[in-house]
Amino acid sequence: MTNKTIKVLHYINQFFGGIGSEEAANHPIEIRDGAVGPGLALNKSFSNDIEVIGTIIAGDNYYNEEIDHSNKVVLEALEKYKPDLLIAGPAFNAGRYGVACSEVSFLANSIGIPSVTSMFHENPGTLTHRKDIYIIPSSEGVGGMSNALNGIVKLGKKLYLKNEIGPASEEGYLPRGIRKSGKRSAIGADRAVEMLISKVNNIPYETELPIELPEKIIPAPPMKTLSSSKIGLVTSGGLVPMGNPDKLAGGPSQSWFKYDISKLNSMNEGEWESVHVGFFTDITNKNPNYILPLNIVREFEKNGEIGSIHSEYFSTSGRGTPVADSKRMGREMAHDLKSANVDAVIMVAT
Amino acid sequence: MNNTEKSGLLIRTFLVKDILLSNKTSYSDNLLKISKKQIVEIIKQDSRINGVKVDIAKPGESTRITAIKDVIEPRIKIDGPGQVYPGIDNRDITTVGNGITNRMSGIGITLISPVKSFELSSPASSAGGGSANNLIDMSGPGAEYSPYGKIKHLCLWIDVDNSLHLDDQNWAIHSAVMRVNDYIASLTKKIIPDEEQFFPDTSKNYDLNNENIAYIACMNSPQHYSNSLTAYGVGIYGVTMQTTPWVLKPTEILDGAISGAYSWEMVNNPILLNLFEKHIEGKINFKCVIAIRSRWSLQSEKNLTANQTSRILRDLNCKGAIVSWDAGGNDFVEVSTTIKSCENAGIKTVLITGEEHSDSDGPGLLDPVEEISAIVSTGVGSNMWYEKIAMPPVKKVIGPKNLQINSGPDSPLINIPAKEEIPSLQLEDHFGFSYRSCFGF
Repeated sequence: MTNKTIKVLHYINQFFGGIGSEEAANHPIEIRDGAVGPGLALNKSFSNDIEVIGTIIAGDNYYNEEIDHSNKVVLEALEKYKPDLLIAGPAFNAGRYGVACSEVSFLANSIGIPSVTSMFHENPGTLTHRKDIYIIPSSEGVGGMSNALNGIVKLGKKLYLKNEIGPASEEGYLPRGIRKSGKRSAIGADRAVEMLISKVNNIPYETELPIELPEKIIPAPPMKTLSSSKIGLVTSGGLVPMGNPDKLAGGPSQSWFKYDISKLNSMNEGEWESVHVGFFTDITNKNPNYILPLNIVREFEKNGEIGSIHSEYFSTSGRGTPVADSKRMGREMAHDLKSANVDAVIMVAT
Repeated sequence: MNNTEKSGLLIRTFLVKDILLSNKTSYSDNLLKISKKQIVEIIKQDSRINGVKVDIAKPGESTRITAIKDVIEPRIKIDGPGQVYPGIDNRDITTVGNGITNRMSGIGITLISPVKSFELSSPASSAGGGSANNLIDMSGPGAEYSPYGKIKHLCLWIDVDNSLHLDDQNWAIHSAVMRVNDYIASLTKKIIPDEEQFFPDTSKNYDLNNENIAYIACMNSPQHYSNSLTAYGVGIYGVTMQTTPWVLKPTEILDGAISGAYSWEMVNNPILLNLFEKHIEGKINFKCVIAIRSRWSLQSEKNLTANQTSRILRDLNCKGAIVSWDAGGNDFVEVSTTIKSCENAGIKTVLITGEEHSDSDGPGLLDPVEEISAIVSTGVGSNMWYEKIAMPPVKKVIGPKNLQINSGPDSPLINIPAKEEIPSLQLEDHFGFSYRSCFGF
């Protein structure tokens, strides 16, 4: 009985292609038959399982700067070789290489060819197509080549066979930020005590939920002067006209609304209410200026400390809102505010 | 058997293998017989109560219990100071956790009532002041994932004078259930227990060579939403308002020192019981339970409670702590701040928690703090609509016949007949009773 070996197309950079180091980073993308560099190691160590039938080589700068052309060439290569699997890298901690590997991997997937790549977990290439590709974590330097290739082939075989791919911790790939429900083999309390005993005794343990720190956002530069500025007011406190005519959800909300405040000097009791379910709203309902400080901002306007206030305030309920929706609503609000020539926003969160 | 030379709490367990309605209330041969008439009399001793419906639910039945305010395991003190479930409902506040306590296992006395814990002034607001686990299925995934689906329930749907202040309504119905607890649990007094287990006073019985480990239980106080110091909710010796950290002996928890809203889960807390087991096996010193309140209003208050907690644990020479919490949203800031403070003081922590749903770009925790390096995940947390495991339709509903459920982002609370299918599992596992978890893909 013959086991069909998996036909692999391999993507590598100029260094692993034996062309040169940084000075060859602009090497144009090219395709060669058979294996090159680490591809030879793949063929040798995994000869029963895989065969590298073609290799794409590109300089790290070249791929990133000529991305449209490079992607075109990759698609042509995929079409020519019709591989069962695409392998990109390992890129270790080489950032431009990692980004290119991500791109190539994503491209292969997009035309139905399974792919695996590998790089160091801090490589920026782990961010670009995070949810859509499989990345085997590697060492920072080339010392971990053999481990990386092992991980790549192990997962690659499963992908080729269309086996069900289990959780990241079991299959050895970097978690992609996708969480799915399931059952573990011991009850939560027992797992917690066991984890604590390991942690206290400096025995390695694996957290069931890795912490992901939020994206660092670079704030807009500060206003040079306020006296001529137009200020917009935004609240995530769920403040709406009494009766909630647009039925803003108390949280989480995927919608936001605009309400006219052009003729008002203050937010008056009885005219507005907060529908936010995440805090004690009685105080706000007695004096809505607490979460939309219109009375104070009008004073600044009267005194000439700010130029003017935008005629509408924007409102949503910021309780349990999915991050993707927050990002979208933020973009939508920013677009509206910019169209209205608003210079700066006071946003009261709760 | 006299174990009172060694200080601690002897728990005597009386199994309840079956429960049925009868002419007279009795307990013998592991069979609990309940006289509806006697139960109604006990409950209606308080004139604020209009009436009660008594019913029974058993594991495996196609039954859903709704509007649950508390489930109480029948317990009673046989020897030693104080009264079980101390402080709550004006009960004796004497410190508990010593002597002998009887418990009936396999059963809960379940309080059903649609009375809210708080009322907000915004007519359009859907905040309701209910408990997360306010419905129980006796079969299907709801039963599989919850300890409540595996015990029998004596359900008491109590109707109270609704002209009273909410606090009075709540405490009237809860006291009624405590009267039933005292009556039923005392049926075990002259009987030989099925099992016995001794829980040492861990502050007096410990090994100097072992590490000191604490359990930090973080609990929502109803004070924030209700603006009342006596609002109904989880009480520590009956105190539900915002208070500074309490240092409790683990045996106090076994006598119900923390009770009011999920009392059964606290006296059967698997984290507590596992830490006791490790202590008895000589692997750790289960030093103490720190009970902290959450949903303080100001960040400085949250920082204060966190700092005091880590200072106490450092002074008690604790090397590690398990942290649990019981709420959602802003309450998490107390948890994250406490963990940060502990880790910075050299106290290693493990957090047991449900997850925010990260389907759309977000982190698994509301406040992703780097110091929370060890987490046990009990699955989808307070944003329950993301858990796409349906609770199938049922044949019988005990309690109000309509449910309000949160059906997802941007949707108002929807009313559905309680008999129908509920599209997503309405359950949170705060203390790690189940195998439920989430995995990274």
